[in-house]
Amino acid sequence: MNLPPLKKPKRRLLEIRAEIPPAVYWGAGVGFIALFFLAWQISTSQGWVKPIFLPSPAAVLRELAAQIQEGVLWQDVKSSVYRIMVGWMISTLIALPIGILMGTFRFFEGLFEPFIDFVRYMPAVAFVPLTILWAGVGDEQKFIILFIGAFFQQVLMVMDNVKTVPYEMIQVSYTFGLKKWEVLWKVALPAALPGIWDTLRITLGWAWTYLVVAELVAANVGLGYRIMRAQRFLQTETIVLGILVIGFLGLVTDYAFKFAYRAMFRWMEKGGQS
Amino acid sequence: MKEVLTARNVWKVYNAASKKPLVAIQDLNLSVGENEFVSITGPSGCGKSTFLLMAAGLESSSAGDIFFEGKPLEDGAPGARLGMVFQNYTLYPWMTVSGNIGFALQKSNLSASEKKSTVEEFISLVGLKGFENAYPNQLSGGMRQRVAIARALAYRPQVLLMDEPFGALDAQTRRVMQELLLRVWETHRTTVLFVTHDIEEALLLSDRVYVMTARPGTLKEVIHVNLPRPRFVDMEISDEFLALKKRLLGLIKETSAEA
Repeated sequence: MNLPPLKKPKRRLLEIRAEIPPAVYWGAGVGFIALFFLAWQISTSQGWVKPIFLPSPAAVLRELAAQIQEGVLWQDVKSSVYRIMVGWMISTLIALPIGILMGTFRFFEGLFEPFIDFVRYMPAVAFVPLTILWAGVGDEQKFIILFIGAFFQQVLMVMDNVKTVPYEMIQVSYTFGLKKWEVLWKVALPAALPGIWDTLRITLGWAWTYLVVAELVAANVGLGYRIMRAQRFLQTETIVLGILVIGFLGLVTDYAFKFAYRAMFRWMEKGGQS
Repeated sequence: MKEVLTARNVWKVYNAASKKPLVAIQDLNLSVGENEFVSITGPSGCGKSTFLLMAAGLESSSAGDIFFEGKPLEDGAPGARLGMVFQNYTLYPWMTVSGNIGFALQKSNLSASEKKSTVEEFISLVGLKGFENAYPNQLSGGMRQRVAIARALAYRPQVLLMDEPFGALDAQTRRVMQELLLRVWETHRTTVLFVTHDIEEALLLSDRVYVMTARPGTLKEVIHVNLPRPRFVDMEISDEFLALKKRLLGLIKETSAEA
């Protein structure tokens, strides 16, 4: 086809909701992180901040190398990740069925929601002293804190995920001769799954916060423990390294979840034929 | 004509125990004969969709009975004898077009190969050949409703209940779908009970149109549509059609004035 001479599309960077080139989008994100590290480097190398308040990136890198060599980092990461996984898994395994029941049957919603709303407002962190009395300072105490922190949020979020399944979809399934439990298992659950997956991703992020707080108060291994101990000796590079490692682990798990989401729920994608 | 679906003195009352019970449907009587296409129309809130849910066994009536082939429907016992097409949101988005239609057949006694050929048959009936493996999110609104219709017909229900199935579509697509439904109905002659507030749609498709009053919904009148079949969308400008439309508009106006 012969096209007339085409006008150059207008490319305004700041236009409400307008698309921008992907290179600009990703470049800006990476550039901002680079800028952050650059500002950090300059402010420490110029001596604007004392190393005791903020160590230089180089010092943190040296600390990273040292911790890797001594095996301390691996040990801390291993035990923190282990605690997160077990604690969050226990919470998830119990929250899923209860949340699904609450989102499906008004009876279970009425039964559990007032109690859950009540407990949900109690800060998980305030349970740290109590849980130490119950379970000491080992892994079990971390599991309990993680459970208290994650469970009550998960249940309510899963309930809402299940409630978003359109009622018409459920009604029409009955007309195919399906029984109540078949409708729940074959229709309501798969329909709610993408939302539930997002709930799991978000609550896993929150679980990190609870774990580190628990480790800050009482532990003898773990990323939070390393940070707490470094404070006593004013080893700010250890503190900063610990924070960065936690951020990095959070980022990795978040992207793993997002990647899995895209692989599992391709059918959510729009477009194609119309 | 053999009656397939009969409503006798059906009421639907909400908050019956309160001081101000809400009467949604009042003493409704209607019937649908075998292989007949019947529509219910009326102002919003007249209870026409509620009645359809009751006919499907998805809601219970407060008084009166609905009979299916002479036997009273059990409350809240939907079965595969009745097919249902809603306005929207009923396709399973994680299943392909074939998967959606096949899902409706899971309780049938057909063999695997019979199921497969049934799915293919109904996909081509609604003109979706080539889209077997598409997911609902990749389809337009009209195509999704084609899938919903194919899925509801595939397990060969004795009555097809349709609740404003084209209500969410644009005017052009809606006409295409009406034409499609006419052709499908002419080949399959399924008994249909169709709910719509679009009176032209009701007249074009139906053998009879029940007109309901505004809340509390009750029967206002029945119109027999004696237009010849096969029908086509452009019949809507014929004199006979316009005469019927005029009469129906007058009735609707009266019911709205009463409200």
